[in-house]
Amino acid sequence: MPLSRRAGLALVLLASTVSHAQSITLNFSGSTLTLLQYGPNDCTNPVPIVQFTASGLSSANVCGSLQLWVTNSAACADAPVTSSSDGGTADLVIGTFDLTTVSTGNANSFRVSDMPGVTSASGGCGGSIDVKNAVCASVQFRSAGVGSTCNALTASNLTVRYDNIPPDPPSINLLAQDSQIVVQFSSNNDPDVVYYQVWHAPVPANDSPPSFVFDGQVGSNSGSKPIMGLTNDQEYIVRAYSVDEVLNLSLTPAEATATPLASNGFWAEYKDAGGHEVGGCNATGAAVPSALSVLAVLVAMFRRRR
Amino acid sequence: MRGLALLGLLAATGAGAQTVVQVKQDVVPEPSLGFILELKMGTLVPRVGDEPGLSSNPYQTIFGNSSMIYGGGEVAFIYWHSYGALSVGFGAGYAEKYAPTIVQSTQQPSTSEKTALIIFPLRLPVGYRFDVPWSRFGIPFVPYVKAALLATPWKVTKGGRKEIVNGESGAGLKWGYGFTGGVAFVLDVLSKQMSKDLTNDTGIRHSYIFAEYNFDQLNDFGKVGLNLSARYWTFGLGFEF
Repeated sequence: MPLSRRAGLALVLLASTVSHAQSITLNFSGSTLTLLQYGPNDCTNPVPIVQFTASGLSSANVCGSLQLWVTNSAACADAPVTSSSDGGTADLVIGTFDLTTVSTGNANSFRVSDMPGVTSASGGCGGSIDVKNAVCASVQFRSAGVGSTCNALTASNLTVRYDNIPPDPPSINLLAQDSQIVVQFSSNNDPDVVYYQVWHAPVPANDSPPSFVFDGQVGSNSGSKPIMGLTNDQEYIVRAYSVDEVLNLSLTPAEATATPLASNGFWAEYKDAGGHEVGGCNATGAAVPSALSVLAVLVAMFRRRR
Repeated sequence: MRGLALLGLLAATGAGAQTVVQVKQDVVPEPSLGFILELKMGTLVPRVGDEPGLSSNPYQTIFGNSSMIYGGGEVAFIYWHSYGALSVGFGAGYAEKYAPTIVQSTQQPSTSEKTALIIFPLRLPVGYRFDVPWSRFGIPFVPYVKAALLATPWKVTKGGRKEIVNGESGAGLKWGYGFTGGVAFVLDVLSKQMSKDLTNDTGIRHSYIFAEYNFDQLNDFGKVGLNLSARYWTFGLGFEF
């Protein structure tokens, strides 16, 4: 093959290689998370700055500006949508960049309440909404080199969620035991629930309201939580709330009552029957070392006889 | 024996002038050292009620006549192998029994709380295996006996936690001794080719199933206290390397 043809072939190969090397990556400033979730307490807070990094894109192949936007659509389009696609809100454009001069940059700041889907039409921050918005980036470029048609290169790896819907309360079952109540949780099939808050109070003798004590929280995967140090023969009321990933609390608690009762396990029955054992590991005296010595002597004697 | 048979056959057929092919038995001598690994299961009832001075049997009160389920394993080093085999080993097991607690006010079983007796039997056995019938005559039964030093950590739980009564903890360690007698059925006899393959592939020289009777005396060598002695059968699978 002549040298000129070889050079041409090499250029074509090089171009094809280059055409596969373009990319845009997005990240939230100071975070490796790709999904940020917010609740009602965060609605007016700013979302961390979106940063982009472009690779393999320059004046040689770019044929438009890089646009960054937030959309409530199911997927990122090639360009932000300015008409309604999400119940009355256009996509929120958060930056336009010229990749012939920059390859990295920061998008404009925006707040959770600015996002499409979190609008006055849907109740805004106080609305009963649970929306997921994608952060999108797109730029037109010539994938096949100079003179070829411009195609869109997009990135959509970031998601911002606003959840203002309280989870359902858990289902609970109480096991009344000796000086304690074990609260058993059943799943309410809400994947957002991350833990349960447990409270208890003695049932008042009169009509006065019960005085609840917070018993802490327990992970939604743990299944149960004991409330210890209770008085036997006293009826208690137990309440449990679900808490989701953005600290939404279930509107109503699960509620049940139980009465701890004194009981005997095997050890108490043994002691009641007059058992002499005191427990612990100090009950052996000199017997064990003696037995071990006898065993060692027997083995040694046998080996010597051989 | 086979040589005699061949000679007899030879005389009977009058083929004295013909070539005699002597058949030799493929005898592989047993190595003098080796290891044994055993996995076993069984059920046992600790003789808690044997403790002197008890007004009742608390095991029966809580658990009735129901047995504890036992599972365990044992490794042994064969350090002498000639007319039988002598070994020394270490065994560890686990047994538990759960039942409802007794509500004090009603003396009825609780519907929402359980108590458990949990034991972790440990043993240092010295054993003798009479494997001569198998190694010399191919009879696949190997009787054996063992004597062992026993140590058994134990724990009582109530409502999932260690039960404590008047400051006394429901947990401890019991020492004792035990004797075991059993018989193993050597599985090699079922398929000699599989047995050879197992030896070549894994180094397991013999595999066997066994049944054994255990006489465990776990009362701190006669000291009055919680008596975890038991007489019970175990069954299992063993491998000799």
